[in-house]
Order: sequence, then C-alpha cells, then structure tokens
Amino acid sequence: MINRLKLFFTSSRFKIALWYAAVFLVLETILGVVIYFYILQKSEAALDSNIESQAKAILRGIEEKHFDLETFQPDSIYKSKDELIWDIIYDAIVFNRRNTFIQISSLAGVVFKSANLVGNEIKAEQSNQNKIIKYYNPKLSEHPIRLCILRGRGYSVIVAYPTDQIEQMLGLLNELYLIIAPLFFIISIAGGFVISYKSLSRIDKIILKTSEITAHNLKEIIPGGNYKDEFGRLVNTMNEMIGRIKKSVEYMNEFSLAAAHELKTPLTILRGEIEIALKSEKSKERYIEVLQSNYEETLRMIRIIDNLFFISKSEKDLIKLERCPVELSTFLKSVVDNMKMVARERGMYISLNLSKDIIINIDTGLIKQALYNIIDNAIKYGIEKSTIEITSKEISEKINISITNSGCGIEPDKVEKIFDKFYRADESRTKKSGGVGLGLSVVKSIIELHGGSVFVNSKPNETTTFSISLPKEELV
Amino acid sequence: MRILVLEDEKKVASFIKKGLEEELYKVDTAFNGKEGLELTYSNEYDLIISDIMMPFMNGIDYVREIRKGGITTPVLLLTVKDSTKSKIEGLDSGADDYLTKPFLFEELTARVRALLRRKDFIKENILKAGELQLDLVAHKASLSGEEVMLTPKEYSILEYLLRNKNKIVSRTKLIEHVYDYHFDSGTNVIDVYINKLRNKLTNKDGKPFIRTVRGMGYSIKD
Repeated sequence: MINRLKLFFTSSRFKIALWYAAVFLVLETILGVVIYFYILQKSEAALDSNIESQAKAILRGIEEKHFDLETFQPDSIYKSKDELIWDIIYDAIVFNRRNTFIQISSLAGVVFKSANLVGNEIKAEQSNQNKIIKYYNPKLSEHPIRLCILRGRGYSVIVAYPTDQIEQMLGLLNELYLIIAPLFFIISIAGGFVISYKSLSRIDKIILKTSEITAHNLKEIIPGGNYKDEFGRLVNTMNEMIGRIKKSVEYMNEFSLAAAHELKTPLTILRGEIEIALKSEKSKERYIEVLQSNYEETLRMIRIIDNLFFISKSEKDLIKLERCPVELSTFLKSVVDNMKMVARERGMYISLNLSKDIIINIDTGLIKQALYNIIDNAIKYGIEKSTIEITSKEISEKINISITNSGCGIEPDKVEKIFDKFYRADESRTKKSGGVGLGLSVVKSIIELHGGSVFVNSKPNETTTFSISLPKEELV
Repeated sequence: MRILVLEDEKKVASFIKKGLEEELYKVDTAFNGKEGLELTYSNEYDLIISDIMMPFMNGIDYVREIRKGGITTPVLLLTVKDSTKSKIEGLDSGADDYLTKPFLFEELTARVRALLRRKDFIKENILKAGELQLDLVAHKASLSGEEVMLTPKEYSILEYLLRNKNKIVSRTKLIEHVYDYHFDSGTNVIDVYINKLRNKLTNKDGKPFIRTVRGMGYSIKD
C-alpha cells in the first residue's frame, strides 16, 4: 500500500497535475493582482480628474469674479460668504454634494469650509508654488479621502472625496479572490489529473508493450505510431530502434549459425576419427595417420574462425590496412608461384597475362589472401587439366585483375549472392573447400577495404571470371 | 552386409568406411549422388548411408531417384542441417532414418543394426538357427553355448545366410553382400569359405548347418 502510494506520488501523472495546478494558481494570483491594481488605478484616476476639475472651476470662479473673500460684505445678491462660494461651487459640483469636501484658504488662513467638514480641517501642506496639483490620501476623521489641492493667486482650493467606496469594492474583490482561488486550485488539480491521465495512459500502453519485448519477439511493434504527436513520434522512434535491434540480432543469429555450420564438418571428422581410433587398438602408423588428419581439421577450424573474425572485424572497420607500394606483375607472379603446386595436383595450369610497370599501393598480406581464396576456388571448381587465366591491366584510372577458370560455373541467379557470408552457391561448397565458404566474403571485405570492388561473371558450364577492380587514386 | 556410403567430404567418408569395416561390414563409398546412383543400380546393398549436401545431386534427390527406380534398400541420411523441416523433407523423400553431424559413431552403428534388423524382420541383435547363435554386436558365433572362432569373412557369410534363414541364397548374392566392389566374382573363393564354415559348424548328429542346394546356392534351416 505504502509502495503504491509512493509510486503514485512519484508518478508523472501526479507531478503533472501538481504542476498544472501550481501554474494555474500563479496565473490566478497574477490576474487578481492585475485586476486589483487596475481597478484601483482607474477609479483613483477618475476621482482625481473629477476633484481636479471641481477645484479648477472653483478657483476660476473666485479669480474671474475678483472676489475678496477676506473682506467680503454681505450685499443684496449674496447674503453670506458661503452663499457666494456655493454659487461658484454649484457650477462645478459633480459628485454627491454631501460627500464632497471643499476647503478654500487664503494666505491668512482658511476662508471657507464646506458644511460637511464641520469642525475638521484638511491639513494640507502649504506651498507658495502656484498651480500645483497634488493628490494624496490623508485621513479625515478616520475616513480615507482623495484630495486635490489647487493653488491660485491668493487662494488655494482643496477638493476632497472619500474613497470608502473604492476600498469597499476592492475589499469585495479580495474576498471573491479568497473564495475563488482555492476552488479553482482544487478544480485545476482535478483537471490536471484528467489531462495527465489522458496523455499518460498511452505512455502506460507503451511501457506495457515495451516490457513484453525480448530478443525473440522483435517482430512485434509498439502500437500508436500513427498519431502525429510526440507520443506517436516516440513510438515510431522506439519501433525504429526495435527494427535496428532486430536486424543486428538476426545478423548475430545468422552469424553464429553460419559459424556453427562451418565448424560442424571438421568436428564431425575429428569426432568420428578419434572415436574409431579409440575403439580398438590400432597400429602406430594408423594412429599417426589419425593425428595427422586431426591436425589438419584443427587447422581448418582455426581458418574458419579467422575468416569469421576477419569478416566481422572488417564490418566494424577494425582492420587497419598496412599499405606498401609493389609492382603488380611481380607481386601476382609470387602469389601464383605458391598456387602452382596446388593447381598441378589437379593437372591444371595457371597462365599469366600481366601488364608491366604498374605500381600499386596495397596491403600485400590481405590482397595475397584475397587472390589466394579466388585462385583456390578456381582450382577446386575448375575442370581437371584446364587452364586458369590471370590478367592484370590498367583501365581508365583503375587497376583490373581478373581470374578466369573453366568449370561448372555459377548459375545467374546465384552470382549476386556468392559474396554473402552466409551463402553457398552449391550447398556442399563449404565442405569441399574446407571452410573457405567464407573465403569469397573475405575477398569482398578485403577489396572493399582497399576502396575497390569485386564482381563475377559466369557462363554456366563454360567459364567463370572473378574481376577485382582497385582504384588508381589510392596509389601513391 | 554391404553398405554404400555417399559423402562428398572424403575424410568423413573414409572414417565411416573404416569404422564400419571394423564392424565387419563391407563398405563402398561415393562422393556425390550421381556416382552413388551408378553404384546403387549396379550392386545390391543392404544399407545406404547418404549425406544430404553433396554436389551434382544432393542426398534427398538421390533417395527420391532410387525409390522411383524401385530400390527399397534402407537409407540413413546424414547431415549438418538439424531443423525439423529438413528432417521431415529427408524422411518424406523416402529415407528411413536420420542422423545429424557431428554424430557419435556408436549411434551410427546402432542405427545401422536397427535398420538392417528391420529390413530382415529381425527383432534381436542375435541371429539363431537351432543351436547356432550369432551375436551381431559382439560379432561372435556360438554352437550349443560354445564359442566358435570365425574369420571376418566367415562371419559375414554366416551373417548373411542367417539373415536369410530358410531361404536359398545364391552364390552371386553372397558375393554381392559380403564383398565390396574390388572383388573379382569369377573365382570360387565363396565355396572355399563355405567349406571352412561347414567344418566349424556341425550339428551333434553330424549334419552340416549349411546345405548346398545344387545349382542354386546355399541355405540354413532351423
């Protein structure tokens, strides 16, 4: 249970939901703050412009009519100073008259206070500067007010208005926020879960399917690759990866199968010969014969394994060529000299038709091996007492070496495949050639390491020609 | 008993031949299906051991061919392929048994014995006729519980006669089954061996086990 809970809290689903809710909360708060200050700012600005225009109107009224408020005497029009001022004020008043505080001062002191100020006086800092408008928020008998002071020639007018309403509204807004925010937070967590569940349930499917995949069922694919979103891409990428793994697993399987197959013939011989030798007592000569044969088979197995290693190493680019310049015709002659004996055993003759003075920069050991494999094949599959022809020449920046024999040849549909390491044109080829079934793959690897190419041209039951083409530009 | 071994890998063919010869079989070898066909049609074999992968004609085609030609000799296939599919293909082509390389030679000889028993409708590895017993595994003959020493050739002749108990075996048949193809059938060497055998194997009542059927051949009866 604890584990499941732990799993839940560490799950991406939980984390996503939490993140989602947190982001939501932050956004909500920012929105609240912005609304709060926007409303505060806008309503203060509206108030300010009103009280300012009232103050201006009053000041203008006083100044235009050149009233001397300090020496005012009642007359037939204005029975009192207040009446005179109110006459001026009326023109300007916009707000509720009862809530608007007006205070007019001269240099000598306060000359007028609106009735609602009663015993209060707005304490505004005095200044000699004219026409300066100042807003600030003092308190008038515990009521917050917004104040505008306008200074004219001789008089300063203060118009103030209580800001209770604004504050009330903002207070309501705060309350509303405190109710809504937690509610939204809870809703957003739930929403986060829904969203993460919806998107992650596909991840769960991917996990489930992926966990089922082993080396044996690499044919299977993870479903969901046809979605165009990130998950679809993830699935496709994983499927591609599985495809690549499948390929290399298949390759390894084929490789080990081929290796096992190649080794079976020498092992059959070793096992059989030893078993029979041990069954009953034999002459010394017979034991020597068996050991001799066992030794040959051991060598054959070493050769098979060397070939397999060579091919897999060359596929991984692990082979470094040790090139040195040689004169091709001399080099070919020396290779062929070693093979002449083998050819003679089958009554075959090797004829050479070599261009002189071609200097070629090659890994002589490897090229010798490649030529040996081809010529050896030519001898094994050639007709007895026939001739093997080897030619070399330079054709358009390329060095061509060709080896032709007369024999059963290779059927056209098999020609392409004979260089495949796991292919045998003739099923018995590996056995007969003593593990050199891999020989042609080795040839191909060697020639390709040199940047060249090898191909074969065969007329069944007539002649077969192996052509090696090495690039001239590789030469120094 | 005469066995044909078809195997393109000469060394494999050679050790099978040597091993089977130690077991007192006569063995001919051929290195591909075509050579094998010629030998099969020109000689009478008791058993054929054939590799599957051979040049010119593979083992499976070879078996199909000889079965089509009416030859019922048991065939044991040898191959490195060990997939079930190739086993099925091999057996369905008309072969009687199957052995994958590398094999235990003991197993090969056991299978050879089994196939030969089946061919002659024998259930045991001991052939009997009256008081005479021939152990096919130990290669020993005994008469009334006493061992009779036989030369390999004598053994082969006795084995063939006992396998064909109660039948008349012609001289040519005997030659075909107890000699490989290096034998010159013009000689009367068989008669010499039969005489030697007769001397070694006499009943208490003095009657020889091996009877001569004039103009036809020899026979052993219960």
